[in-house]
This record gives sequence, C-alpha cells and structure tokens, in this order.
Amino acid sequence: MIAAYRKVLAGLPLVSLLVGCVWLVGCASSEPVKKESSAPMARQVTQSAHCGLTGPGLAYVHTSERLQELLELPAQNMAIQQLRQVDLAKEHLLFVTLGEKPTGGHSVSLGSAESEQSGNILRLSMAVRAPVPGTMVSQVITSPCVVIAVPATGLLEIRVSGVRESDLVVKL
Amino acid sequence: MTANSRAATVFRYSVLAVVASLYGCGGSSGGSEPASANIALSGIIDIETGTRVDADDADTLALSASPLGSPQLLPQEFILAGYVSISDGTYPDRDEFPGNNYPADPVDTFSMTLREGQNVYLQPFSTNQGFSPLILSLLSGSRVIETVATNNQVDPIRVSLPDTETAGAYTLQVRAVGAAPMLYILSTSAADSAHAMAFEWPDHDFVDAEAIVVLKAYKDSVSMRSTMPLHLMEPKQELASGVWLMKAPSQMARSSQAQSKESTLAWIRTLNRRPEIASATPNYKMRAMQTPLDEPLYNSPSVGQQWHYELLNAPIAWQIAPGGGSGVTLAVMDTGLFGAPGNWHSELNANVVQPLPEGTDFVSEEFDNDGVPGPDNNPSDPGNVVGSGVSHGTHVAGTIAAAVNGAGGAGIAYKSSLLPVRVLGEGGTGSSADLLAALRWVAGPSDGEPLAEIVNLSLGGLPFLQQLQDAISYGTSRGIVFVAAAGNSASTLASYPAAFDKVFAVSAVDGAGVLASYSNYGDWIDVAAPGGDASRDGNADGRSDLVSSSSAALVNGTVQETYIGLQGTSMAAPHVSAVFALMKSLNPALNYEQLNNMLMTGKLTCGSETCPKSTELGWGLLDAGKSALAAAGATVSDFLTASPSIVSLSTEGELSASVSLSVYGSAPGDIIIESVSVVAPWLRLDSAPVSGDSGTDFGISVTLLPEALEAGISERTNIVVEYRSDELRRLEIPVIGQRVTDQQARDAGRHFVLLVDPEPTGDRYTTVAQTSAVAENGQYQFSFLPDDGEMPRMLNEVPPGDYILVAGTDLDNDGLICHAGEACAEYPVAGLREEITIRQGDPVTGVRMTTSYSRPSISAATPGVLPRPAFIGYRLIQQQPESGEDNGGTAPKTIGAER
Repeated sequence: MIAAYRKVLAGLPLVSLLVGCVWLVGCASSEPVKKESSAPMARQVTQSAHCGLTGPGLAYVHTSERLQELLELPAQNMAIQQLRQVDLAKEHLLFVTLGEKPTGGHSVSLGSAESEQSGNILRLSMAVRAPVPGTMVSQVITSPCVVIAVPATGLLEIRVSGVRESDLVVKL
Repeated sequence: MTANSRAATVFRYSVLAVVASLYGCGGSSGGSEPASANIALSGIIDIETGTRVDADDADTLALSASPLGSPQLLPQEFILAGYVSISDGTYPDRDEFPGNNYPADPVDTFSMTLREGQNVYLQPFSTNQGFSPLILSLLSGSRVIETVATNNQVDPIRVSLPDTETAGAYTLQVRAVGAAPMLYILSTSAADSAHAMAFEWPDHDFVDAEAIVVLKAYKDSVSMRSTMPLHLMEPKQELASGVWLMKAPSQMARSSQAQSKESTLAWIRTLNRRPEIASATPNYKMRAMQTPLDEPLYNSPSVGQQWHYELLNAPIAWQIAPGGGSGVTLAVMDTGLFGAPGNWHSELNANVVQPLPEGTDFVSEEFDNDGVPGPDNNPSDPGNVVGSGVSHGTHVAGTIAAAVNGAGGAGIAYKSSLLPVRVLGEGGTGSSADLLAALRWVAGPSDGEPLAEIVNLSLGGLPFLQQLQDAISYGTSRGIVFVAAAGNSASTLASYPAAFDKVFAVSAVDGAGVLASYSNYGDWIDVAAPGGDASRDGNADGRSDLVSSSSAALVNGTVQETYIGLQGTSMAAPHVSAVFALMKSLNPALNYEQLNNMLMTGKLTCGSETCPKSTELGWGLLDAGKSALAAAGATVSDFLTASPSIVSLSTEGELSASVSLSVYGSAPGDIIIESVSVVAPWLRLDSAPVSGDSGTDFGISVTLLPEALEAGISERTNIVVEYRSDELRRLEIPVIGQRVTDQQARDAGRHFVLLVDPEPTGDRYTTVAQTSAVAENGQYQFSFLPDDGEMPRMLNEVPPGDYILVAGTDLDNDGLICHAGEACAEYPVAGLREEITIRQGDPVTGVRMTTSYSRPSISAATPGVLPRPAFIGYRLIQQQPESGEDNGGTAPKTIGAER
C-alpha cells in the first residue's frame, strides 16, 4: 500500500500507531507524540478525508464556539464526538488541512512533535500522502485534514512543517 | 439557513480560503477584488445581513457633509449603527495625540414600514465623553405614538407598533438630550414577528374520499348491496372477501384540499360507528407505490437536499417507470458497501443482490485494508486506515439504489438490484489490474450470462490501457452498459476509464445545471449529470449544491450509517447509471449502441429541446423523464409534467414564476384537471387550470409573498396538481421560497482597514498601515501596497512582517475603530485573531472577512469568556504634527475613501 503513495514529506516517519487504526474499531486518535524525556506535547485526535476546509493551512481552536463553526462546514464528515471530548481548558485543537483535493487518496497525519525554547515553541512535522499519478482513484472532491491536540497553556508559537514548502505558523 | 450555518458559511468563505493565501498560495477565493499586480495584501470584507449605517455619523460629518435633512429609509428588518450629539465639541487628548472634533447631529430620523406589533430596539453606547440619555420615538407623520428614554448605557429600550395602529410607513427618531455625543444600535428582531406559521405535512397521505372497509357478516356482494348503508358509501372495488374499497358519497364537500382531507376523515369516523362495519380506514397511499419523492431527504422542508433529482427531471421518470428499475442489476465497482453481507446500510440492504456471487472483492494486497489481504468474496467497505472516509461506494450506490423506506432518501432506481464490487481499497485507491479483473468477471463466463447489465465506475485517473479497453468492448458486446466519472481535474485531459470507447463519460453540473468548477470536460464527454458544487448555490435553496446520499460516519467510537453531501464526478456518474436502469426496466433490450444513438439524437437530454454536443456537457444534461419516455416506446400512459420541475423564488431573484404543464406519453392525449392547490402562506396561486379543464398543455403562475417568510430562511412547499388520464394521478411541483435581504443595500459605514503589530504595547496595538473603503454592492474591497522603500511611506504601504488585520468604523470620529457601537471585522473571525504574514514579492490575495456590529465579547452570555478588559479599539494612524510627513498629501481619514 505504501508503495502506491508518493510521500510528499520526505524523511518523516509515519506515526506507527496510525497504521492499523481502522475506523471500524473506533480508533481515530493517537498516543501523544512527545520528545524524549519530555511531557506530551501533541496528540492526534482524528483525521478525515472530508473536513470541509477548502484552503490548505491551519485553524486554531480554543473555544467550543469556534469548534462548532468548523463542524458545520458543508461536505464535512469527521469524528465529531472525539473532538468534543477534548477539554478545551486543558488542550486546544489545531486543524491542519490540505485544502480541497480532486480525488480520494490524499491524507495528512501527525509525524512527530518536538518543543523548543523551554516548551514555548511547538514544532509539528506532518506526513502528507497523495496518490501516485496514474493510480486509479475515487473521483470525489476531498478535503483532508488532521486534528491535533496541543497544550492549552505555555505555548507561544506552533510551527507546522510538511504541508507547504515553508512552515505554517500560529502565534498564540 | 440557521445562524450557525450562516456562521459556518462565513467561516468557510473567509477563514479557510484565506488560510491558503496566507502562506503563499496566492490564489483568489473568487469574487471581484483588486488585481494582484503590485499588491501586498488585498481582500473583501462582507457585511452581515440587514446591516445599515446612520448616513450622518460623526465620521461622515467630519468629511464636510451636513446632517441629513430628510428621513433615512430603512428596510423592514435591519440593524443600524448611528451617532447623535446635541452639540459639537472636542474629545480629550489621548496619549500623545490631540483629540478629534465631534460634530453636532442632535437627531436622526428614519422612515420604515412596520408590522403590527413589530418592535424596534435601541442599544445605547457611550463615547469617551461619557453617558447621555437618548430618546427613541415612534411617529406616524407628526403624531407621536410612543416615546422611550434610555436610563443607562446598558439596557436597551424598545418601541412597538401597538395593535391600534395599522401596518404601514412610520417614522423613528433618535434624539440626543445630554451633553455627551452618543452611539447607538437600532435593530428590529425578526424573532418577535408574528408571522411564523408552520405547515404540517401529514404523516401518511391517503386518497381523498376513499376508505377501506371491512364488513361484518359478509356473504357476497349482492347481499352486501342490500344490507349496507349505501347512502354512506359507494362500493368501488372488492379487495378481498368482506374487504371493500369504498368511495364517499358524491355530495361530500370538497371545497379545498384541506377540507377534503378533513371531510374524508370525518366520513371514515362515521363509518366506524356503523354496526355493519368492522373497521374503516383511510386508503393510505401504499409504500409500494411511493417514489423517492416521498422520502424525507427529498421532501422535508428542513432536510430536503436532493435537488439533484429534480434537476434531472427524475420525478416524471418515476411516473413513467414506476417499477423503479426493478429487474435490472447494476454493478457498482467502487470501495464496497458499508456493512456486511446480509446487513448492509439499511438504505441498500433490500436491494443488494442475494446471494452475492463469489469474488466480489478484487482489491489486491497492495491496496487492501479489509483485514483479509487480497481478493475475497466480501465487498464490505472497511473505511480507511489513514483518515476517516465517507464510504464512497456506499454514497455512489445510494444514488442508484437506496430503497424507498420512509427514512433518509432513495436512489433514482430505487428498486434495482445492486451488485457491490470492491476495486478500490485504502483511501479510495486501487490498481488497473484489479479493475481489469473485475471487468472480465462481470462480463460472466462465455457460456453464461453477464453478472450485471450496467456497470458504474465512479473512479478514474488511469492512462489508456488497451487491456481495459478490450475488457470493456467485450462486456459491451455482451450487453453491458458502462458509465464512468469524467474526473475532477477541471481539465480537458482524457481520464480513463471514462474516455474509453463504449463508455458513457459523465461530467458534473451544479444546482443550476452549470458545469461544476472541478469537472473535467472535452470532446470525449458524453453526457452531464448533477455532481454538486460546494462552492455554489446554483438553485438558490440556501444550501451548498452537494449531492446527498447514503454514507457512514464515526459516531461515539463506532461507524454508523448516515447521509452526507459530497461533490465530484463520482456523484454524477451514478445518476446516469440509475436512469439507464430505469430505461432498461422498461426496455430490457437496450444496449450501449441503442442508448448512444438515443443520446446523440437528443432523446435523452435537454427537455423539449435538442442539444448540440458541447465539450462541457457532452450531449447535454440528462433528462430522466425524457429518457424513460424514449425507453418506454409506445407503452406509456399520459402523465403530466412540469417545466421547470422545481420553482425557486426569492426577493433577490424572481418573485413570480410560470410553470408549464404538458402531457408526457407515447401518444399524448387530453387529460382532465381535478384540482390545483397551494397551501403555503408565502405562496400565492395567481392562475391555474380549474377542475374539469382538459387538454395537453396548461399553465400555472405563482407569486412569492415575502412578508410571510422569515428573512434569510428557505422554505419549501409543493404545487399539487391532481388530474385524470387513465386514472387519477397527482403531480407535485416543488417550490422553494426565500426572502433575502437586499445584500447590495448592506452598508456598515466607511471602514478603515488596518494592519497592526501583533505585539501590543501595554494594552494598545500599533497600527503600521492603513487604508479605508466604502461599501459597494454590500462589500468592502481593500488592498495594501508593498513598501517601496521610498520616504515618506504612504499609509497604505506595508513592509514585510507579521500583522493582525482588522477593519471597522469610526462613527464617533474619536480616532479609534472597533469599540462598542461600531462595526468591526478581525481576520479571520472577530474575536479570533490570527496573524497574516506579508512577504516581499509574495502577494496575499483573496483575504475575506465579515464585519458586524456584534462581536463575541458582546454576545457572549458570560462576561469574561473572551475578555478584552482594557481594549478600547484599534487606533487610526494620526497625523504626526511634529514629523512633517504629509503621507502623500492625503489626510489619513480620507485614504482610500474614494474606493
């Protein structure tokens, strides 16, 4: 299966527990990704091929109102319950989206996370997949994204690599 | 559209389209905006519905205008921000800047139409000069009806048109009575209006003036006629021994449809009291006779979303082919189905072929994720390992063959047989080898029958492969019809399998029948069908034009069946496959060659017209009714059909519509009109044929009554035509009505657009660049230029860096925008600021946000949820008297004002 994909982000390992995380068993979230000997910095809450988000980039969610806005987008199909179970007082959510894609076969997931500057800056590396040209794919418009939970306090900046040529940055 | 969905829409078009551009995407989100050449940042600010602004606020008066001498006209529903001051004066100095002047404007006068009981609210806001009372008066001419004064700067006041007054034109006055200038927001509240009337649909429709009667002590029909109270009922048909279909006496009043229903029920209650009768029940319209029109997803005013069936003229096809495609087997080569053999998605289970033939899963190990690597006999869709999916194959299959069961929606060929074939694995991807194996398999053994008559291929992306072409040619020679999605690359590049010879290549259209923005096109396209377009609302029903069908979603940790809207040529192809199934149910001999000939001779597309072939739509948008008629040959009774098949009326579009009724049939003859009725209070039937009229062509005209609709909310109803051809028949013509506030009239006042340093100094933000714009067609357009390094730097030039983008009005002319009582927009959403990065030579375009008088800090129920305790607004760049810079000779407050 892996050979069928062109891994857009070179050199990033796929988080091991994403493999085998089939939705039929309800496994859509990951274990926290953390730097060696440090506290958990980020965990993948869920992924979807249909987030309804049309532009590639980041959307930072720290209130239930904002989360609700994201969950009411057209053409969206996400694990809403898992997102609502996140305690926004303790963790905020970062939507990393690839924007609209013309077919199935695209996805983005959390590769790794590490902190800098005593935990003030969080670096997230994303693994992005796209079908190899010539692969047979479903002809449905998709909007892949991944939702990552990050600590609600202490962070001043989140830098996301692997989605665009340059880092995407959220300053908090 | 609900408030939430409006918010979501705003977010969709503002936040995320713009997120793309923030990081160098550079694409535009659509709409008109300044050209990107030599632009650092540009975008559009939308204005919330119903927004108006006082035409002589302090900011306007500061630009040498005089207070208005005549009342300002307002719509019936609005929200307006205004300014009044009994005298002119000067605000106190702020920081190092001298205070601005504020002008005198002691009274604002407005003219508007009020309904009986309608309320108008005023919310006062102090300027930095402190609080002064305001007086709100309601007048009829010079006669004062009601006057209310504010007691403090917190509580709103209200005037209301009393019941003793009649609806009509009235005058509102806001008067300053204290020394300090004041801001206010004046608004109506649609929620208080008394026009909300819901029309409740019956749970189960029944035939007027008919009942199914079970008789006691029944012997035979002769004795029945001698013993039964025949003055109460007329025998129509013996259904079983002692069970009769009875008609009501002809004298039963039938002055309207509603009364007819009620009188039928009253008559049945009478029958049930008779000692000779065991039971009498309405003659319910049987489930078996129902079509997808009866499904909630189609006909519910709140959830009706299957616009795509009307666009396809499917309702008339269901009349011509009442079997719903029964007896025709369609293979959906896709991701499989949600569920398991014998327990598929409840919409599909009844129609899935049982037992399934062996070998329905062709996904090879490389792509497989169903836990059983490689091909097997189970076409269940396991979802995706990486990222949740939407059960693509389930969605496609639902458009074809979801059953009519009183829940959800139904497919076009709702009684056809569904053969799920799994050829796409993880993420909806697969290999040409797997497809080739499936195509050979479905053609059946050389000494046997094909396993399906129609094959739907909502997949693509393959190059030309001779082996696949050969497999398709072979299948076609065996009578199989292949239909495939044209692809979503918005290009003319041929996508296979759609572009193979003997495959119907289907492009996608939106709700208006226009080629979807993503759809492939080219001379290899054969026909078009609805595929949806989330970015459009082509049919003006207030929803994105997505194609709704069966799906599955992760809920509470488990995947559960559901419905979802998707877009793509994947969604268009099954419409064509299903219509072909209806056709083959009428004429099983139809094969590719015959269908293609029908298509090329205009028998399947474009309604009453014949379409020339185009690169976008091929031979045109498929017309299911026309197709069914073409397939039926000489066996069709006369049916009435409507053109347009759905009517959309809105205050920003057509207020009236004419509907042509014509007879569909092999040899159309006269039909007799029984009744034409409309029950929604917001729709007026202007003209229609009356009972007893006969002919082959009729006209109906209707008019929207917008005052009976809530602003911004789409309503849906039907024009019901009952007529008699070979039997009593019924045609329902869906009507969507929408009262849209005139967007072009929206105006929140001149907006200053600022780029401010994200790092505040204390509690103040420093504005780095500034421009301004006035509303045009309900929007503000703005742009900033890159800093060219030349001094003095213009106000609207911006150096590279990270900024917060905000915009707002300065109605009180105090040099600050975005404080209470003024309009404010923050990128991407007010209260949720995010930074924008400006880079040299990398213009950021397509930025979109929305301005409003309301904001989270005001609307939040609990103070402190979004605290900005020391926030006083964003400061406009002031002239620095000591700097000597002239900023290009233009006063800061007039920069961009000409826009």
